[in-house]
Amino acid sequence: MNFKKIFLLTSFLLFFLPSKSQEVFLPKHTIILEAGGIGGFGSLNYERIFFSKEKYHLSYRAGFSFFRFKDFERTFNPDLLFPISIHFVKKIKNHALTFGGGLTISSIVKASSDFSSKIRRTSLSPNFITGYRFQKANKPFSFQINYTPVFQQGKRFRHWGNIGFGYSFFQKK
Amino acid sequence: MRNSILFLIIVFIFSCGKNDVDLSQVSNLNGNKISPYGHAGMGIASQFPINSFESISNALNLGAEGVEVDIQMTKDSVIVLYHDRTLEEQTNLEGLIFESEWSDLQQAIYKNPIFAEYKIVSLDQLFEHLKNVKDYKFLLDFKLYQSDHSDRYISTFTNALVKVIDKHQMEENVLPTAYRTEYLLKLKSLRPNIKLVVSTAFEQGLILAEELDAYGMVFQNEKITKEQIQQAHEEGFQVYLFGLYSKNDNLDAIEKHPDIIFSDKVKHLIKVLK
Repeated sequence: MNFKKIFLLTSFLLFFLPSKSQEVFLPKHTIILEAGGIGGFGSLNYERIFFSKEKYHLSYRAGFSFFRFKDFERTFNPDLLFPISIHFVKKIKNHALTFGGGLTISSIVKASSDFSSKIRRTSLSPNFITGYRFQKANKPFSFQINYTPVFQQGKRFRHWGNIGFGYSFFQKK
Repeated sequence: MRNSILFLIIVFIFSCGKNDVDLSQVSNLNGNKISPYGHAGMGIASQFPINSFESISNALNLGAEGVEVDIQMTKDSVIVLYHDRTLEEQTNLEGLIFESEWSDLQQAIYKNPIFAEYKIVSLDQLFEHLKNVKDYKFLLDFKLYQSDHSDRYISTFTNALVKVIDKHQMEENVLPTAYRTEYLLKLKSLRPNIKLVVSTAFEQGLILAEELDAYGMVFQNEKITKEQIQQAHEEGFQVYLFGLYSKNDNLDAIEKHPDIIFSDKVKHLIKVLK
């Protein structure tokens, strides 16, 4: 199944999947630890729901990730990744489908093109996210699995994916 | 009872970190010491792609005394560092090294790690830009995927290699090895003092090493015994081991007293041997 088919299928499920019209609760603040995904090999993220209407939600997410702390000359010079994204979430009972996209800001230390020097290269890579999230009502823990393809520096398409574990913070009533 | 369990846990934790090996008993042709080398740089499990400039530089800056690298020749006779047969196995390009021009390969980006975009390096660039390059040794493993092994091709390959070695005055620092003897013979005819390394089964290897007046022999760790290494030393040949993917593999190889170990666990090997 290629990239376009996956997105068409997810879009269809998000917009046309029948569900009873009742408000579905999704916590506003969540911390998510991801393995893989738009943060590279793994990242720590903060998610905030900024718009909710019945079973539909919009959220933004921002995170960070360290690739490694020391560069190839063994000096402290960490590679950094900052994934940011916006998500459209449709929740039905304990299950949610996610569809979104954003950018990964990467700042990587490498050799220059002719290998004559060490450089830090900062670049932007668009990404897309589509996946599934499981979270019981009024429970802080969630699990999610996503397909997260990346266009490295806007040029090279890469299939990618992640699993994530979230912890939500409930607002006191 | 509780204290005994606690004591055992503490003993276990401390014993886990220990990698004691008796290096005073090492006997070989390398001044009775074992030199730690990186396998294709930092090895196959590293975040750096194997044979990349960054991987090699990282291994040497960690304290490795040298590295094994895989070399191939492009269509326009440039020696490049690359392990696999096809470009698609490791990069964003498709095709074969020996059918590609160097200018095309300069556009290649290693697929992994994602976002890093490391590039293929030529042997000339490696020797040109690696800091303190003459402090290190390089086992050059010829990857000969092309079907053409004619005299003409062998001459072109060896001449291209010698050109780079001469340009950077690295003859003392390279250890060429190939599974096809004719490449080594040709190299020996061009540079009689070059330190050839034989790469074949032990018994056959001893005969070949004698014929080629080789400097050393390279073996997979699991396919060689301590006694065979001792025999090779008695015949006057250094012995190098590869195929070491874990800390236990490193310790096992050290027990055999080779001259050089090419490990995928470079950091551990350096720590144990230094």
